Amino acid sequence: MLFTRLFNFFKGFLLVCVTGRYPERLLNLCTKNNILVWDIARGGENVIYFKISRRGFCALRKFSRKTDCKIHIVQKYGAKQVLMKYKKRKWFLLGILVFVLVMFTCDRFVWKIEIVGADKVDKNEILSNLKECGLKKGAIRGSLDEKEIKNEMLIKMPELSWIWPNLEGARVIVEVKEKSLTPEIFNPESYKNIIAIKDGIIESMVIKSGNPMVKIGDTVLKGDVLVSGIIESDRDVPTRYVQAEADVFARVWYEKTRAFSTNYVKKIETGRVYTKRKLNIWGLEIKLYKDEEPEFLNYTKENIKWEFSPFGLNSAISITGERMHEVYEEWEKQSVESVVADAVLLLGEEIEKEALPDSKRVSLTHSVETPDEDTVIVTVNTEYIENISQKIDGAQ
Amino acid sequence: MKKRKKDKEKRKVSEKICDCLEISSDILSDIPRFTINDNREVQIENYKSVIEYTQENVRLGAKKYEINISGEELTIVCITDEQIYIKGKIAKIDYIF
Repeated sequence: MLFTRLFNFFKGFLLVCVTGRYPERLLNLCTKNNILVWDIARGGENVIYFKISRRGFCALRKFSRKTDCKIHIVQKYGAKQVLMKYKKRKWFLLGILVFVLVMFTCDRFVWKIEIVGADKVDKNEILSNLKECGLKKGAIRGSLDEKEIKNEMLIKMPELSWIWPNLEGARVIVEVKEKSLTPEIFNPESYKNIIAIKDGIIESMVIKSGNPMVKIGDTVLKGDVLVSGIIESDRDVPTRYVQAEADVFARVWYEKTRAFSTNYVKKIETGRVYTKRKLNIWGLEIKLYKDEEPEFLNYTKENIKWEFSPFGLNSAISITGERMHEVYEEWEKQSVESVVADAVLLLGEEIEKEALPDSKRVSLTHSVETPDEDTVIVTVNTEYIENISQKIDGAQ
Repeated sequence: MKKRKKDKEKRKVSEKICDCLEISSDILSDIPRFTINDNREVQIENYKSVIEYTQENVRLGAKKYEINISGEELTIVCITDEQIYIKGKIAKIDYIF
């Protein structure tokens, strides 16, 4: 029924008024002759309204004479009528056309790239390599070849065993399979030692293979052998050479000293702002400002970014730029306590960067010296527990 | 008389087949079949003709009797040779022999 109605909508149909003594007879004749009528409503005594296809209406005239009924068209419906109605509203039609065109154009571009299956390999690295292969936000889908991208990517990234970009919509899903790395094959005649990579006092040891050369509580220096790969025996057993395996944790100390001034320059905003905006459409950059530099000389910069993301989808349309706030400088004196607090935080962060990854901070202490009114010398001492073991070739 | 007798026999045969196969009798014979949804819609298959149509009454001709559907604001949504689809506030469906 729905299909028939849809078909009739495109072909066109009519709302007809039938007046006569017995309009039901006309209805029966229509049904017997396979003429579809629908939405029949009584209009009054001896009057009925119904809808009929244009073709059916031609046959209806013949039956009207038979049944002695008068027929007249009340209204015409259909796609043609709708088009005629909107023919006068040119801007509306133009809007629809532009909308369809924009939708069609947008569909041709890559709007979002998703990577599936990358656990160990950095997704940003894959994205940057894909960009080099041509697959990036704003790229035209038709210009991309999946096989070419796959081959190029597999050459560029040997850590991947398989990659496939599904270029089926505006959102490209890149499926990735990582290579499982082959284990290192040891030469049975060579051996490896574990050495210390930092000075410290041994806190704990987990030795899986090898001969321990130190014990808990020993002080070790950088380069000292912690676990040897040579296993000698007092009994009549020949010397064995193994790949030493161990995790040796030691207490390691760090110290940092720096002088800080209590006077600092404070930048106060005047309220004058100059903004430089750029419109980025699918990799094309359009400047939305006139002057390169603002009228004022002293300013602080702030980066701005606004991305057009309809329905949460990342699009390739964005506005980026810089906002410059005019400032004037003023010297201010800070209290010693606040200088010390900032310094401890800064030096602590610097030490954190020097420490080995997965290390655990045990303590942090600081001492302060004030040689004169404007200077504060801050010393930060920290203690870490770190895995200081490193495997090296025994011959080295 | 002869035709009526023949019809009777025919009906009996079809009824017998339906009974044997344990299937609904409307499959083999052209008796009217009603599909009613609440008191809002009724769909009738195997009707013969529309005898009367007003907003309060729809009278249909079937093979051996008339079907009278009464109610309010009755409209014939769709009508074909085999079925008729009526919408409205249906109050009563009568068989007139």
